Amino acid sequence: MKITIIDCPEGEEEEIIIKCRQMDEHLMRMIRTVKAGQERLIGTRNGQIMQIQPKEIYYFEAVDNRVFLYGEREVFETRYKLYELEERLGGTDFFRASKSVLLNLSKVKSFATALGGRFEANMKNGEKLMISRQYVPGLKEKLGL
Amino acid sequence: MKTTVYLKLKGLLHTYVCVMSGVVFATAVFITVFMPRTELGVELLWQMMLVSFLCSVGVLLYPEKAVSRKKMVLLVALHYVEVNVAVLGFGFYFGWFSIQYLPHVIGMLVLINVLFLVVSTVEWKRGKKIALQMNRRLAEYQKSVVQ
Repeated sequence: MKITIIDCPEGEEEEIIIKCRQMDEHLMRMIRTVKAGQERLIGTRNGQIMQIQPKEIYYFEAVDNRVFLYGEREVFETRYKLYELEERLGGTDFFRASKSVLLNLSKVKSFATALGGRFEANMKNGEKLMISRQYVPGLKEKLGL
Repeated sequence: MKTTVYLKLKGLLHTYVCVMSGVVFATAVFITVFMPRTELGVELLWQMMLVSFLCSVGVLLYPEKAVSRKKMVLLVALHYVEVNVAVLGFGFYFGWFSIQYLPHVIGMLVLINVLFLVVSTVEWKRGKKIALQMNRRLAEYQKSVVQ
């Protein structure tokens, strides 16, 4: 695929034009990634409000009706519900790993088997997260298996 | 809910097939070693199927949701005990072995342990194969994502 970058004159809105014969899954993912890159989520930590890019987030976890988002080392709380985040980030790298966790596939280092026929995700920051068996088919589908 | 039930049944069926194959093999070994000249009735096949089912049903103990490793080890141990109780209990009830004859009991315990280990290893290898496929796809996926 040829990539052309044209200088954008001052004051003009930046624009991405996709010229293709057919929209395939690769292109769709590219569009979703670009859109997700522009999105910002609000998180709070120690009373401070922060804007966080979804691509910086490793996973979201719901604990006692509160939702936390985990970066490489830092944790923020967010007012969004897990299902709202799942809807909002649908089609991006996020997938449901369990009832309480939404996981960023691009931050997964590897998958491994765990006891009882389950799987765990080894994250790039060293954390390990369980994937419930009921969400494995969805993960396999996302990976194209 | 529907997916959970389907996955549970699928898992149960897969384990049942593995256990039943193992039980056929273990029965053949046990009969060859301890009662080579005994004539056995067709009821033995139904008994084997029942005991295999009771051993497999323990997989339903494993939850779909994420639980701690400690809890999972406990559930595997519970399943192991359930398998031993089912085989020894029903084996005694069906008259497969004599509880007074120690080699029978030891032989039965050895076969249960070997079978449990084999079935667990088969399940583990199956999971490992899936994990390997997912890791391959994950690498491709992450390469294709525009950073």
